Amino acid sequence: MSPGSATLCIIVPAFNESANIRPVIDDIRSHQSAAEVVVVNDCSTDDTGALALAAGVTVLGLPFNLGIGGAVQTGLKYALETGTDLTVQFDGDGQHLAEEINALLIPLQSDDADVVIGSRFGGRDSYTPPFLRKLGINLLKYTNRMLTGRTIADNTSGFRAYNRKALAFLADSYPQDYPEPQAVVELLKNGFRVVEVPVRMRERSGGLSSIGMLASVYYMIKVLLSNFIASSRRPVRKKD
Amino acid sequence: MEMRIQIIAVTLSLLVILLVVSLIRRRKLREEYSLVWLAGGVVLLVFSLWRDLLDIIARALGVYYAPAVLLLVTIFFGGLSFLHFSVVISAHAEQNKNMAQEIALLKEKVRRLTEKNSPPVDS
Repeated sequence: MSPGSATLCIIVPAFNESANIRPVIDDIRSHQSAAEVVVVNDCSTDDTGALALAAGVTVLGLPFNLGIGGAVQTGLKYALETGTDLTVQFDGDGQHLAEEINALLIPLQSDDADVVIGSRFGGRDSYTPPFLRKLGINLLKYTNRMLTGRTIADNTSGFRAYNRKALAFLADSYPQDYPEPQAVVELLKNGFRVVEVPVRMRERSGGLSSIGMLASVYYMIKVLLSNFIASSRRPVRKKD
Repeated sequence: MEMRIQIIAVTLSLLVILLVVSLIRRRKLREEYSLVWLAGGVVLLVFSLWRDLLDIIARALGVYYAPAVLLLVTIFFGGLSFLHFSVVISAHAEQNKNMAQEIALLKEKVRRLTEKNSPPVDS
């Protein structure tokens, strides 16, 4: 496929992002004017959905809160139905930068990858996380390497791009609670070519992490368990 | 003395079975989930009718205190039932999620269709 002609769908999961959703949509539009922007409103209690609708983008409103995994999967299902060539997953909280989207698309357009992950590591102004978070990120990196034989530095990044093959796979089965690291394991186990591209990301403006201390411990246990189990599953695909 | 407790046990077992059957008849309980309860009722009934059975099983297992066998079996099947319920709940959660996603996709389709069929009137 030639770079210009491929259709692009950008999925933006959003839960109570009334302060960020409009700037995020504008940011995406200013860099990817041809793309269809799909905001998945995960049953926000504020006017995130109305603001997105007013901005004129496609809005998928969930009837109750599913969490990030279920919300992203809704967007993936929609993208699959529209028949888009390329799909980008882009957080609604403003931490991702639309100017970096093209960097994610390049390996897909040259057919060097099925999945591209925008990584906070390995770039010029690489991100240095606080100690405990770094510990968690590294733990994920090493266990996932052990399970899949591949090293993905930023397993928790939600800034990703997929070609049609990977989209079909993920739309059909996408992990739920803390989906990003497990999705990496499942994609690799199923023979998809996963590539990381260093990108810049905005620091979270709130300063605090979205996950508290106790929740972090639960997060790690849950993610590690899911990853171990996911890697023990038999691949569902293998028909190239 | 022994007769009285046996009558009580048999009556209770029959009541359990009747309760389960009646719940199914009133469509409060689906057949697929009733089997484990029916089986439990039948096991209770068998033990109340054939009192030596417990002793026989206890002796075969090398358990000195026969009622402990009953307790063990009860706890085991109770635990198994809970696990079964977790499986059922997980299946429901998955179906629920799929349904919510389907609703979100359909809502957007309906919104587009309504917009196309009745364009906003500009005065």
